[in-house]
Amino acid sequence: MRKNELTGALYPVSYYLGLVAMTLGALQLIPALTSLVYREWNILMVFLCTASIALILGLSMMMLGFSRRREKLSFGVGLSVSAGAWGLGMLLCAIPYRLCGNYLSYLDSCFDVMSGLTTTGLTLVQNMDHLSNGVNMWRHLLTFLGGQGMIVLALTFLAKDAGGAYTMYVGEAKDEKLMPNAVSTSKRIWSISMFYLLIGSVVMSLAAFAAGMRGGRAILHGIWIYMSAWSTGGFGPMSQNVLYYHSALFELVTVVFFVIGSFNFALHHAVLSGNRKELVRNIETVTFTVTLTLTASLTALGLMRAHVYPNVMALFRKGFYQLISGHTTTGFMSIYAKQFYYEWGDIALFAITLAMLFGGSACSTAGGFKGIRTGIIFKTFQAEIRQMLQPDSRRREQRIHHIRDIILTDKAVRSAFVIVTAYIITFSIGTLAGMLAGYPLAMAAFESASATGNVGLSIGITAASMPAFLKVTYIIIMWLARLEFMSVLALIAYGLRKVKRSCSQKYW
Amino acid sequence: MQSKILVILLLVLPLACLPARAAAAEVGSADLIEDAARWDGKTVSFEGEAIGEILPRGDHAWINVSDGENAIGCWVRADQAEKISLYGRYGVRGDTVRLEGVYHRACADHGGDLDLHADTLRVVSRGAEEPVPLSRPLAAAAGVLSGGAILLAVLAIRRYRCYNCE
Ligand SMILES: [Zn+2]
Repeated sequence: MRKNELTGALYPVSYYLGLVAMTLGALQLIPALTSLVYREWNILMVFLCTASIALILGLSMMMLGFSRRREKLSFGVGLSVSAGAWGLGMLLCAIPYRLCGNYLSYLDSCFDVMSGLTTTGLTLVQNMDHLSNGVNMWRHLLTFLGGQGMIVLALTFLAKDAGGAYTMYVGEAKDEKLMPNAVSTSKRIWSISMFYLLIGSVVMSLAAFAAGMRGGRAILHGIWIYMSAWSTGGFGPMSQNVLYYHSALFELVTVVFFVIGSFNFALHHAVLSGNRKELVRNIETVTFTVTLTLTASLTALGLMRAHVYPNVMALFRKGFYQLISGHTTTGFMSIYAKQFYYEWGDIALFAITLAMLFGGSACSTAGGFKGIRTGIIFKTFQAEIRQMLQPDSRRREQRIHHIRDIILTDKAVRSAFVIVTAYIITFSIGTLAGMLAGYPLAMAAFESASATGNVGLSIGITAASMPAFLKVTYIIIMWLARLEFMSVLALIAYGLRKVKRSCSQKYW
Repeated sequence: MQSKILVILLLVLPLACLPARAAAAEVGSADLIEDAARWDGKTVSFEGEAIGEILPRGDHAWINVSDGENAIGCWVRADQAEKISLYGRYGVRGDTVRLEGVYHRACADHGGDLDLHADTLRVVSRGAEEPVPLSRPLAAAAGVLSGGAILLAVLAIRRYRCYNCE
């Protein structure tokens, strides 16, 4: 009976994973088209090969499970599909990287795919300044898609087969319900994103034009930088990242887009529906303002004490830019990675490391603790202290404002503490791994915070020459952090329960 | 009298040139980034491939020059930049240029950019279009695989044509 249940679930699982593979295959036609337009024949062939592989695999898996696709998936199976989709997606999307010749190994390719899909932005690509337009399109497309969530993507194209959809959706860590069901929520997310994609690409292309770029390159760079900014990804088409453009206006426009991208989709929905006040009342925007002010002041203090920058403009364009890029977990850089280590000094590095861990808002493309959790934890501390000062007074219920006033339950507080603790543990393990690889504490902590917060700022550790175990560690950290731990823990717990149950059946 | 002046000139000129030459130490991008304080404000000589494109700013322009490790932003006069005919990108090796000028760790004029304000720009060697030759095995594989994918897609659509009418 139980065995049947497990093997029976394989069919719908095969169907859903096949759907993900097929979608990823179809998406590779976009970089293929880019290569065709720019006559990059070899790259075109690479993408035709890899798109076909993904399509063949995906179609076969879908056909296998087609007749039983509507069967309801249990919670555990839904989580497994979500995890499996990430693994399969990473392996499939990395093939074109490996074949294009700009990556030294398949592991490096997988690292970059995971970095893209988790909207981190750390990269191991070689000779980036001579990278083909096709591969650049694929890199930025991955980071854009990662921002929207792979499962959401599959759902949008398959509104009718929403059988086990919601379970998978919860596994994607975006459990905000804008609309009554997962499919319309994901559709809403996509329409918000497409709306911004259109406007953003035009504005960003104009900024590239103003920076001196011309023709197709201005448009391509505009689209790519927009995709990267909106999804708080941090990839750029040139090795100097944002520094390449040497333009204050260009930098300013990216700030606008990545700050918008780091806001909660529920907030976008509220504001776009006419509720402007939410922008100043929401617990996450309030928390963001407070933590940004704190870490920015600290960064400025550190940089000024060390006399790193000659004037206020430089302090703003270098100090504040890297800080807000880190805080929104974007990872655009207008300085060289090593400059952090050689010039910034401990105070500024501490502030930016902290900012990367705080991160952006929940239900956005950003990573880190998320504003809502930082806010809840702060409120809880406040209440505890008030209780200590006036032990006789009756405990008042705590409220937060997120779209509407919400009474803070013990469950919500516990969940905030648990997840933030999980982030801190992961950050510590990543730091330890960096130190084991021989890097000093400040560097190891910075790069670990960058991976844990899905940020993408680098202090210079991330390079093709770093040890393989560190690459694997960062891959796992980026993935765990993106899924906010709980679905992965639930998956492990589900697996253990299954094993335990089958064992007890055997012996009893 | 004239010959005396000539002799003096011949003696003095090399001396006058020497310190300037000696000051323009040859540096790599790694030196400029990792040993920035040492080179800050000094006249340096930097060589690399011009990449991307020229970014004009009135009578000046930005060019980004890569020595293979990092690309460095160089602030040059527009007429200097005109000497460069090819900028590196996919399938193109840009002109190799040597720049001499003052290096800034964090330039006060340019928002704290790490940059080099070039006095002179010399094209050391011309770049070239280097089209990547089409790999035949890859093209063959692409043909076979996309044929297979299309075939399978047709098969799947035929078999499940009534996908929406259940
Ligand atoms: Zn300058």
